[in-house]
Amino acid sequence: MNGQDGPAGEVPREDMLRARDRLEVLKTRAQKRWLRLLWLLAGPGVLVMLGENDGPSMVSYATTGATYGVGFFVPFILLTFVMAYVVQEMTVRLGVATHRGHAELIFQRFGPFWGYFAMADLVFGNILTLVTEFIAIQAGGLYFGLKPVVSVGAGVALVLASLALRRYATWERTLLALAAGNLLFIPAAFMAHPDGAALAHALATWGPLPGGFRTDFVVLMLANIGATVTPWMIFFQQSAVVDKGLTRADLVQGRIDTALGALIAAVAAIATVVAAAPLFAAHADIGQFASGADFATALQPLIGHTGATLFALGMTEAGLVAAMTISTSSSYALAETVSARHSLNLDFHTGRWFYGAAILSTIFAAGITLIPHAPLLALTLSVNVIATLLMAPALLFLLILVNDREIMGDLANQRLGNIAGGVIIVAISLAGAVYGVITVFGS
Amino acid sequence: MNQDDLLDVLEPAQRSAQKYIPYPRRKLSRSVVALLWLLRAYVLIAVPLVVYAFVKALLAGG
Repeated sequence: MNGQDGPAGEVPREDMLRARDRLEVLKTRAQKRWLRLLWLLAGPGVLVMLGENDGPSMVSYATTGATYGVGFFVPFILLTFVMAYVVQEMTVRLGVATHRGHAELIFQRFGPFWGYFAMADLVFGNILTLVTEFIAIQAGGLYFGLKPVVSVGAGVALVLASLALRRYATWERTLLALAAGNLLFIPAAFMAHPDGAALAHALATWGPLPGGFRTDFVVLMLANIGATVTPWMIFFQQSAVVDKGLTRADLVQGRIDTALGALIAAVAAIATVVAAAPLFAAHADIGQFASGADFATALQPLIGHTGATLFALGMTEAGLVAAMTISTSSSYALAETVSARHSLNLDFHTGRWFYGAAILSTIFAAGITLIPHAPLLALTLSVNVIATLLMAPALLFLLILVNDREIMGDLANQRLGNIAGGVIIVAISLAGAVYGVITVFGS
Repeated sequence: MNQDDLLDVLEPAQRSAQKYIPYPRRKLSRSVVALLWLLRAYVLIAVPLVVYAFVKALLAGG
């Protein structure tokens, strides 16, 4: 394969489309139209952050709000998004410095032995997460009275339709428009009549934390970390930065894009906690909830029909956008692993490995959710915990690559970046270890 | 603008011809290999624990 799929002498479609996008960027930069330049270069960062505000993440945030109300977890969620920015900024630098995807860099620099381990983690995490995205789509559909087969089928059709665009720029803008639906949780939060003083108190004091340090607290802490930083994000953003054609000159805009995405996603995440907080005040037993749809149904008498509808719509959107980004992340990684062409600018024949991976993983994950009586809510939270555990080795690969001066040159990590990355790895590993101890020895 | 002029806006490393040429493999130090194994062991222990907890919760609930 090795990118030699096209007829000899013919300029690949991938190069032509990327060159057209780059020409527009160069013209805009020459004209010093900075806002338009940001608009042209933004995308991977906002998309990865809003993509990670996915079905299981929103269920984790809703569970957090319903279990603990407004308190410790509000500043904690903000902190996780700072963590997400630190990690994702490294992928932007890797992308602009090497013009390679994350999976291919791991294979090329570490060799196939470690490459297959990294891929196994990614594929395992992505398939599980993709299943939970369709659980979210199904849950949203149930609220509106749609049968699971209808909502899940529509979800699959939309994911496949997004791949049929065969143009990175169009795909990205379409997904950005869809991802704006993540903001539906903000009006839903206002309909919960939040107490501004309680929010300010939580941000200032990291409290209250009703019930203290228990097993479910550790699970929710891990689930909330897993709701913000996961391996697929690393693979996706680096590959998207390369596919979009960002260069060293675009690094500032790449960083702004990532920071903006983290900020918007943090606001939507906290809004979800706030919107679900009335369930905490009403002492609702969420242990009986079968899916995210039950949150919307239970919230209806507390935040009104409109608020509950926005909540259910937001849940559906979260699952749909993430299904599109996560399946694309799998596509990039698989095609990079087998040295096949990997770009959303490819036609179907040249990109058969690339598109094939997304299509197969989407259909497989959707099929799992249609199994009757599957424990969907419990599965959703467990998937986020697993995503957190898989993050530690993924971060180590990232840190080693971003310190590799042979490929990074002057964009290699500085001491502060390494300290931040190291602290995140240790914190995630320790949280996982505490979870393990509690699971084995009880709370 | 003709096709060649248009393609000139891409950095050489962004063009398919170069993008798919692999980087050479790097030599991993012993400490890096040890860290990679440590986290591999961590994942292989921690993930089954989550699965165990999930199944235990299911059985308790059912």
